[in-house]
Parts: sequence; structure tokens; C-alpha cells
Amino acid sequence: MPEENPIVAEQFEDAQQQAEAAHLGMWTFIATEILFFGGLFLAYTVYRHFYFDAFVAGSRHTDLFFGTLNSIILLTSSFTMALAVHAAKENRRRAIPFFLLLTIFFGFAFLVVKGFEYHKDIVDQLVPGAHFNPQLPPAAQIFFWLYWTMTGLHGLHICIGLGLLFVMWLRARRGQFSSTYHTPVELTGLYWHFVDIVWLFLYPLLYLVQRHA
Amino acid sequence: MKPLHPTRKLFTIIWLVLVVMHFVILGSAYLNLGFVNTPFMLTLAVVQMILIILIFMEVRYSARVIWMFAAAGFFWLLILFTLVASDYLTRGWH
Repeated sequence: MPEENPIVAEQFEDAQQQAEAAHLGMWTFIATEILFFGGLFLAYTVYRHFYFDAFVAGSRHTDLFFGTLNSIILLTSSFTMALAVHAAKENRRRAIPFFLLLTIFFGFAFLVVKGFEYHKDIVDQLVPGAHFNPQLPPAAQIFFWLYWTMTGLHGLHICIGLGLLFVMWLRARRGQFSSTYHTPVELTGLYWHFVDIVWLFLYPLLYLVQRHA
Repeated sequence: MKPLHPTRKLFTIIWLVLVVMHFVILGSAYLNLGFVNTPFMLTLAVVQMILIILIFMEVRYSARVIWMFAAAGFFWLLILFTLVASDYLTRGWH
């Protein structure tokens, strides 16, 4: 059975070296992702420095309930993802698809909550452009441009992650992962946790600017 | 010797710590801490990130080369922020 003895490509000494190479590749990709989102965080930092009052006004119009709910959902999805990888390592084969499905559920829940939030944002005229909320300072449009771009790209990453998780779930259901071979589940987990980390920084920067004032 | 991978108990503890920290971040936003508000929130977010990287992403249990690659992205990000800040923060004429 291939899952018991993973096929080792000829350039590798053994399965462990192959798995380590795959992990290294994933971390290299994550480094590029850090810089991908880093550019947007940099733009945020510079504009917030120049238009602080507009950022405060903009941030107060974001929906804290939806934002906080989604944070908890994502943190929990990271937990279930870690448990899926753990189940694979412990060779509890039926637990792998179970925890992957839970993670998929939380990922979808995040998107549903985000959908309700986006709807509210659109009704509240928070989309930059000709119909932007006239009660907000014009520079708040910069804040909301960043809000839509950063949360939108983050949401896109969630969608890609859900696609990967779905494939992993199908493969896990077929019993393709075990304690000896589970690299794809681990790499999907690394990606999913990274997307969670991005949200941990989006949350205070978009939702919590000077809430006390 | 370090264990080969984290236990379910450790994962559960980390998850609870992450959620509690999240509510501390939320609560701190409603306290007037002056200029400390944002650095405080971001510091807690960085701690959350480190917990996720070390435990959930299992870097703590990985080879040294993985540590280096995990740190590399953040190191380059630091260079990006430092060089840009060296311009914007020194514009005395602005």
C-alpha cells in the first residue's frame, strides 16, 4: 500500500528527507506570503501615519461584533486543523477527515459571517467612490480601500485554503494518510495557520483604532 | 529531548490562551492607554502569532533550517518597514 511506504522520489535519500524538503518549500512560500501581505500592512502604516483621524473615524464604522466573532471562528479552525495533523501522526485514521471537515465548517462559517458584514458595510456606504458615506472624512476612503483590499485578499486565501482542505478531506476519507505519510495534510495546515495569523493582525488594525475615545 | 510533536492537551491549552488573549486585546481597546494602546495590542498579536508558529505549526519541533526559513520572511519584512520608516519618520518638513 502506497500510504504505508510513501513513494520516495529519486533525488531523496529517504521519506523523511523528502518530507523535510516539502516543509522547507512550504515555508519558503509562506515567506513570500508574509511579504505579499507585508506590502499592504506597510501601506496601512504609512497612510495611518498621515491620516490618523480619518483612520479612527473609519475604524469606528467597522462592525466589531462580526470582526470578533470571525476571530474566534478562525482561532478555533486553527485548533481543529492542528488536531487533524495530530490525528494523522497518531495514526487515528478516522479522526483525520473528521477534524478536516470541522476545519472546513469553520472556514465556511468565517466566509458567511464576512458576507453579512460586507453587506452591512455596503448598506452603510463604506465602499470608496462617488457614493462613499458623506458623514466620514474623505481620507477615510483610504482606510476603507485598505479594509476591502486586505480583508478581500484574506478572504481569497480562506477560499484557497478551503479548496485545499476539501481535497485533503477527500484523500483522508480514502485512507491515504497515516502516521507514516501525511505531508500534504501538514502543509495544508501550515497554510491555514498562516492565514489565521494574518487575521490576528488585521483585527486590531482595522477594527480597534482608538475605540475608547 | 524535545517530544516529537505536541499533545492534544497542549493544543487545547494554546487554543484557550489564544482566545483569552483575543478578548484581552478587545478589552484593551476600550481603555485609554494613550499612545500605548496600539503597541500593546500588536505585542499581544505577536505573542499569539509566535504561539501559533511554535505549537500549531510545530516549528518548535522542527529542524533548525525550518526555524531559519520561518524567521526569514519576518526578517525581510522588518527591512521593508525599517527602510520605509527611515524616510517617512525623518520628514521634518512635512
